[in-house]
Amino acid sequence: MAEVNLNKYGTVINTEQLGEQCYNDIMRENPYENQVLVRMKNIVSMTTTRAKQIFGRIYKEIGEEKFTKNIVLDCSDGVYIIIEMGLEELLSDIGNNMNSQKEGEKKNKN
Amino acid sequence: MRIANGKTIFKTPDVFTPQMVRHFLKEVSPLFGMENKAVPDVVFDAYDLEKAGLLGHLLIYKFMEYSFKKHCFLNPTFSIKEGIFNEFKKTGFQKLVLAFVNDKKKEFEKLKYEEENGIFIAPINLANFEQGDGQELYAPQIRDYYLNLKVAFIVTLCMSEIAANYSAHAEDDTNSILVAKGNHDSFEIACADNGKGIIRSLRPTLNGRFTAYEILEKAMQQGVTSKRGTDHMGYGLWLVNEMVTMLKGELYMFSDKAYYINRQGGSKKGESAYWRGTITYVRLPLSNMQAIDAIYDKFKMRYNRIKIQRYNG
Repeated sequence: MAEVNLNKYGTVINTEQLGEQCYNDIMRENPYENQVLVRMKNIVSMTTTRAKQIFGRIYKEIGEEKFTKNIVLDCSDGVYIIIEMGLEELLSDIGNNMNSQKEGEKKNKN
Repeated sequence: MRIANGKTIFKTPDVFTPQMVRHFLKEVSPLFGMENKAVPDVVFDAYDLEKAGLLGHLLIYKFMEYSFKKHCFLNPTFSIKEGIFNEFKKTGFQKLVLAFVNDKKKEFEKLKYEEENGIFIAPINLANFEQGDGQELYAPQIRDYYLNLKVAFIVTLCMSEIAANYSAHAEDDTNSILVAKGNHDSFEIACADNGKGIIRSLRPTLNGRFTAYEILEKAMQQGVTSKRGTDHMGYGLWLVNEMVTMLKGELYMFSDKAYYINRQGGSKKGESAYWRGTITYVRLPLSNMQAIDAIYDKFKMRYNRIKIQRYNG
C-alpha cells in the first residue's frame, strides 16, 4: 500500500494552498490504481472547506467505488467526520446540479 | 457618544460583557463617519470600567485602532484606571493599545501564544491567514494544553472555521484579529474586523428580500455561503452554532446594523447600532464530556453515507 504523510504539514489544514498540496500529494500515488494510506493522525482539525477541496475533488475524479476501495485514512474521529461532511456536501452539489440540468432539459423540450 | 463642555466623549460600559456590546455599539457607532476628520478634544472614557472580558478588550482595542488608522481624532485622550488597564496585559491587548498611543505599530506583529495561571491566550492577526501566517492557529499548543483530542478538535475547529470565515470576507486593510482564551472548563473566541461584513457579503447571493438580522440568522444555517460553486460549503458558522447549542454555550454576532445571539440554544436577532465589519464572540463550556461525546455521536450518525476506510494499525 502506498503512503502519503500529511502530518508533515502541521496540525491544522486551513489554507487553500495547503489543501492543494495535500491533494497533489495523494494524487501522486495514483489512487486510481493503488490503495493509498493517508497518514494524518497528527492533524488536530481541518476546515470543512479544505475537506471538500482535498477529498471531495479526489472522490469526484476517481469515483465512489475506487475512493472507498483505495483511500484509507489514518486520522482522528473529528477529522474523519469533517471529511465525511465534505464528501456528502459534494454529493448534494452533484445532485442539485443534475436536478437543475434535468429542469433545463425539460424547459428546452417544452 | 455625547458632547459635554466642548469635548466629544465616547464612554465604555462599566462592566463590559458580551451582553453589553449592543450598548457599546450605540455609543461608538458615530465613529464610522468621522474618517479623516481629525476631530479635536475627543475623550475615550473607560475611567469607570470595572471589568471587561476578552471581547471587551478586543472591542476597546478595535475602536482605538480604527480611530487612529482612519485619522478620526486629533490627539484624543484615553482615560482608564491603571489597575484595569493592567488587566489588558493578560489578553495581550495592553501592548497593542500602547502601540497606538506610542506610535509603535510593529507591536501588532509580535502577538504570541501565552499560558499563565492555567489559562492560555492565543491572539492571531488574520491579515495574512491565507498566505499561511497564523494558519496553525496555535493548534499544537492547544492540543498539548487539553491533551484530550476530542476537546482539542472542537476548540481548533471553532477557531479555524471562524478565522476562515473572516478571511473569506476580508478586503484590503480590514484588520481582522482573533483572540482565543481557554482553560479546562471553558473556551472563548473573540474576533472582529472592519471589513465588508457578513451581511454585505451574503445579501447578493440570497434569493428574496431579507432584513440585515434575517441575513445574520441565515448565515448560521447549513449550506448558506456567499461563495457558491467553490469549495466553500457554508458549513463553518453552522457547525460552530451547532456546537454552541449542544454544549449550552454562547454565540454573539454583530454586523452592520444587526445582531444574532445564541445563548444555550435559545436564539434571538434584531437591529443594533452600526459597526463597520463583523464582531463574533463564542464561549463553549468544555467540562461536560458527555455533551462533547454527544456532538461526535450526532455527527457520526448523520454523516456516514460514504464508507471511507480507516486504518486500524
